[in-house]
This record gives sequence, structure tokens and C-alpha cells, in this order.
Amino acid sequence: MTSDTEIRNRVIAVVTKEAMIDADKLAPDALLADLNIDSIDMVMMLQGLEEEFGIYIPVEKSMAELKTVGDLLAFIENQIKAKG
Amino acid sequence: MRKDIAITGIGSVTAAGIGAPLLWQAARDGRSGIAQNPFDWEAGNLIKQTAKVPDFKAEERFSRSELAVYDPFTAFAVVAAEEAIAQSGITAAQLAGPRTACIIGTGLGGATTMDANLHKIYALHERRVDVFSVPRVMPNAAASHIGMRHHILGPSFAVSSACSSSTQAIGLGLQMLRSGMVDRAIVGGSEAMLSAGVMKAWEAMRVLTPDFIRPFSQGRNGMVLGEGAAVIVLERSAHVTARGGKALGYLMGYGTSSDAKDLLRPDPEGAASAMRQALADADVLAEDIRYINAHGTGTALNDSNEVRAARLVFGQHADHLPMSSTKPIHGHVLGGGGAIEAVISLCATQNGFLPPTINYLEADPDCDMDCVPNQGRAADLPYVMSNSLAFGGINASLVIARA
Repeated sequence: MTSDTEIRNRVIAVVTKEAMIDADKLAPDALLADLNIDSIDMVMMLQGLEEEFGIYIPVEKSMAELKTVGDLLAFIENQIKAKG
Repeated sequence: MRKDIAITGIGSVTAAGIGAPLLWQAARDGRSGIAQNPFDWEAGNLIKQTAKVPDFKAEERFSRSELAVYDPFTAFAVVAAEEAIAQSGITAAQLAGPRTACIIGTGLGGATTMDANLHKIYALHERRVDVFSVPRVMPNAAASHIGMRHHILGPSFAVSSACSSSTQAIGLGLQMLRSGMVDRAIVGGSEAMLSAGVMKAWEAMRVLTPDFIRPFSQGRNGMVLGEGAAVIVLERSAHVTARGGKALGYLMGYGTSSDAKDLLRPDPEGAASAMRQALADADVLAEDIRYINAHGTGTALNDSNEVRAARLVFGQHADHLPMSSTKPIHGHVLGGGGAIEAVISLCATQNGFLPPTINYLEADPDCDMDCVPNQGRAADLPYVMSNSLAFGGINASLVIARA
């Protein structure tokens, strides 16, 4: 059984690599817009997550409503739990 | 109102089968041609659902020398063109010569041939590629082969603007006829890209749904790709009357625009501009339009953008204007899609019936128009519109009238 902490660390590793953001900037309440995470970064992240976790996450409407790093990580982790 | 250009023949090859009547029946009844389809080789594909043409059997339709140079995108277009030309009643002698145009749109041209070559070279390390790869792959191959079969000597080329390719091809045919450049035009589009490598590339865009394509619905999460072709015969109405032919309907207007903003994220102003131009070109009022066959891909962004655009153009009339997507029936056929949807739009006017948007779950407040959810219904349809909104920010709209 994979622990939540381990999943979070792996997700953060993907996000930092694909969106080219320093891990120390990924505070839960940091705004994605302030970090310049745009739609291209999101698609790159989804590709990285497929390679790391073997799950396919399509772009869906709720992704446009993600505002903070915390929202983003929670969205990804929910997808991993649902599909992993 | 401009009814100077008639549609006298339609043909299609789609997941609904071979022939426009099968396409219309599937669209009318909400019967999807989407299924899980295996690829010819393994490329790690996670998404295998596609809208594939069933039982095409190219080897029974074409000679060995034709098969050697026909990529599937050409074969689909040739068969759709034969059907449309036969229905038009134009004789071989009338069709032949420099006064006929042949314009066939495609997004990727011979993608199947190219992907198979790459697989042979890099994965199987074979020395021999498809000997006729180059003429099979070129995007104008379909237009050239239709032209050769029918001795069409006028303008012949492909339009390539991703999902708007065939709508622009049809629009250019309309303009050539109006300009007096030609007397008839064989126009449409074709696409055959459901091979492992091409599908893997689409997967990376994250616009393919892993479950159901649900245009305009809450819970939509992407499109399903399809293959096929549709071809339309356009003639000047006066010519049709003179030769004792019959108009199936009229191509009244065409509009096209470019967002010039973002390659992938659509812009409602751009789509609205194409719709407004098509209305002006047709010389009809927004209120005259009774149905829109939407681009309606089922992606998060397209559908809400298209509804916003339609609301900009149609205002309060949008409250009473049905706009459905038939892509859950025939899939997203990219460069063939606009022509397939134009055929459905024409059939809708002829049959007085609104094809449904199937797989619909519940309303999305961002898509607040009547998408004819799940169940089609009868309606009086003198004038309809068909939209194509492509990656690259290229928008194109047609206005079609019943005969």
C-alpha cells in the first residue's frame, strides 16, 4: 500500500520537473497564476503523471477552476486514487 | 437570401457505414459508431476507442495499382465522391474538363502510411518502406485521385486547417462558383489517422476522453477521434435547372476567421466572427437559423467557447436555437469532420429533424443552449448552420438551406 505522503512526494516531483518550478515555491496556498503555471504546463504535468503512475488524466472542466497549488495537488491525488 | 449555389449530391464514408443515408440514420437515431478498436501494432496506447469505418474492404473496391497509391484517406474520399457524383446526376461528359473544381480538405493527409513507414524503419528495422509513400502521404492526393478518375481539369488542391479543413474546402468551392471561375465543384474532406503512433500523439494532448464523449454536458472530458470522408457536389442553381437536375438544398453562405491568439485555447470572438460572416454571406438574419450543427468536440474548452460565441451572434434567439453535436455518432474526423457535419446538416433540413447530442448527463451552466440532449425531435428547418473550430484558431461556418 502506497502511503499518502509517498504519493504526495512523487506528485510534487512530477510537478516541479514538468512545470519547472522549485519545490520550495509549492506552498499549498500559492496561486498557480503567480507561479506562471499555464495550460501548456498542465498538459506537460499530465504526461509526467502518466509516466509516473500509469494513469491517463484528460483535460476536464474542473481543471480550469484550480486556483492554488493545494487545489492542484488535491485534484491530482484524487485522480490517482480513483484510477490508480 | 442567396440560393444561387445548389447542393446536388452528397456522399460519405464514416463509422456509421458507407453511404450518406447510413450516416443520417445513425445521426437521427443517436446510434454511435464508437468502439474499442485494436491497433495494428503496440505503441503503449492507453486510449483505444475510436470511430472506425466498418467493413470498408478497400481490396474489393480498388485495383492493385490503385491500392498501391491510395492511402486510406484517399480511398475514403474517392468512395464518398463516387456516391455524391452518382446522386447529382451529372454526366461524365459534364463533369470532365476545366470548368469543374475538386477541393478536398484533410488535416494530416496520409498519416496512416507515414506512421506505418516509421514503424517499419525504426521499430522493425525493415529496409523496404512503402514504395509509393510520397504520393500516398501528400495531402492533395485525395483531390488528385478524384480528379483523375473523373477527368476533372479545373482547380484541384487540398485545404489543410486541422478541424476546419473541409468546411473551408466547401466554402472555397462556393466562392469559386460565385466568381464564375468554375461551373461545378466537388468539395469535402477526408481523414484516416487511427493508427497507433498518431493516436499516441493525440493522447499526449489530453483531449481524448477515456470514457464517453459528452458534448455540452456536465462531466465532459474530451473527444473521440474518428475516420472517414464526406463529399458534396456544388453547382450553380441555374445550371441544375438547365440540365434537368435536382437540388437537394442550397449552400447559402460561408464565413471564416482566425483567432490569432492561442494555438489551442479557442476564443469566442473568433468563432462568432465566422458565424456572423456566414450569415452576412447568406444574406439571412440570425433569427432565420433554426439549427446549428456544432463543432461540439466534448472537450472542456471547446463546448463552452462555442456556446459563448453563438450567444454573441444570436443573442436572445439563442434561447430558442437548438445546437447539437453529432460527434458522439461519427467521432471527430478532423479534416473530414466539417464535410460530414455539413452532410448531416443538409439531411436535417430535408427530413425536418434535429439530430440529438447523445451521452448527455446533465446541464453545464457554461453551455446554456438546447443541445437536443439524447433524443432527436422533429422541427421545421429552412435554414441551418454548421460550425468547425480548429486548433490554430481557425474558425469556419456554413449556412445551408433546404430545397
